[in-house]
Amino acid sequence: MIGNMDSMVQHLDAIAEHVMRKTAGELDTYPRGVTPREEVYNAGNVSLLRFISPEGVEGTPLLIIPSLINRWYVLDVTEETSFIKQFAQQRPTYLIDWGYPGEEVGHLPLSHYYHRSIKRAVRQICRQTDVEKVDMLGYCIGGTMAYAFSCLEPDLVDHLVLLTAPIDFADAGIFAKYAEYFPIEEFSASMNKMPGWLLAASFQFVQPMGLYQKTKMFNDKFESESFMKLYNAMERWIADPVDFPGKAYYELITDLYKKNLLTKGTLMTADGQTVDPSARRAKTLVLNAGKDHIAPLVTTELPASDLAPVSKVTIPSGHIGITTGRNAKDACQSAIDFLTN
Amino acid sequence: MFTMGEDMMKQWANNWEKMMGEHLEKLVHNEKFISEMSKSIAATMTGKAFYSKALDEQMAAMNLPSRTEIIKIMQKLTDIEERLIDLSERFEDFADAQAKPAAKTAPVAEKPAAAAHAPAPAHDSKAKKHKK
Repeated sequence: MIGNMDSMVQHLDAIAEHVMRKTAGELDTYPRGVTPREEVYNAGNVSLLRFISPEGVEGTPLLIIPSLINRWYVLDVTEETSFIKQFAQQRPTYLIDWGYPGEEVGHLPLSHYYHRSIKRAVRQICRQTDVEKVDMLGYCIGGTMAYAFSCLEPDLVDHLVLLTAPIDFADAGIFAKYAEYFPIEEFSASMNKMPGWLLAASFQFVQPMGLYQKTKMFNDKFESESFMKLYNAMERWIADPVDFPGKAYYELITDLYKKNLLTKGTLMTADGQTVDPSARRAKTLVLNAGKDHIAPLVTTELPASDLAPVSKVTIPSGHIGITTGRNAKDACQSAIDFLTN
Repeated sequence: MFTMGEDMMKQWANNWEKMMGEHLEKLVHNEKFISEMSKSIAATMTGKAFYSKALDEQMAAMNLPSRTEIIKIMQKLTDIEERLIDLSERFEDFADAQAKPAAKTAPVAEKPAAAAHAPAPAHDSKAKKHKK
């Protein structure tokens, strides 16, 4: 009897899996990033990935710093929209994969990521490619971290691209309001990490009609193969949330969103170094999105004390659209032009 | 007739979307609403902290390690790993500094061109290939 039950359960399980695979379709096996790559270094959760470039490609290596809030492959979701594929064809391209941080890193400060981890990656790249400095591109909070790093280690960064990176948090829009009221002390006392699903839900929450509009768009366009490819790849990315380490999250909310210490030039690393924007020398491109609700245009302004050469390009799209939308190619080309000049 | 009905439905759906969008947009931007929601989250988190503490005490009474203690051990291990990485980097830098003067005195022909640009081994000596 029990044997029969077992086989019945196994049978039902097989049917459920088959149905799920059929329903998920391409989404089920969609890759996390499409450009071929190899891991050249790792330290704890953090890995340094090198993307395979065509033979003979050389130049100053580019290090991409993705956001800690989500997975890096939003910059590499499909061949058609991939920033990384474009960069890898021009120059040696590396990326820091923050992995899936768990509670074991919940006590590490934000400076562990924006200083220690990035410095380790830069050191590895310099050793491997025999250069003394690298170019950098930071996306979203990754841009904030790349900016902080360029303040701390001005000799190691030649060019810096800040892709929709919030720097001045004085008027950071809807997220600043939520940060102001967020019970950060209670969070710190009860959790070692900010769960990824909660972060993802908060992004959906501030755009209450987003899901409805997305479903409507799906209904209008699902017969287009190119739309479905990008839609599936994006859903794959959205369904892959990452937890944010607890102490780093506490510092992100208090030091950046609430106190705006980076712009004030009073942000300190855990080992007591000041993140001083006036020390920066890297040639910088502020590449922002006109319809960005996560990093509104005013937040991408650099501090007045920052005297490094800066140029700006604004793309008419949203925070995610700038990497995968119809204007993504313009954004990518702007970054390439800046890095090659 | 059918087209007219479909158009009416579309018009109705558009009006509903616009109305709901405006209403919900106002709601999620309302400071009073955000403040009340934050209080509710704070109460949940305080409850979670209280529950975790009670559970820790129960585990201690049974002479068993609690989840909090295991996480603390994991965090200690992370700290040790970080120190080891820092030390190995310092050692590598030291070895590089020692090797440089020797390389200067060595004949150029003895230094293989390929080796000069060969990538350094991965930290854990297990560089992984990622396939598409």
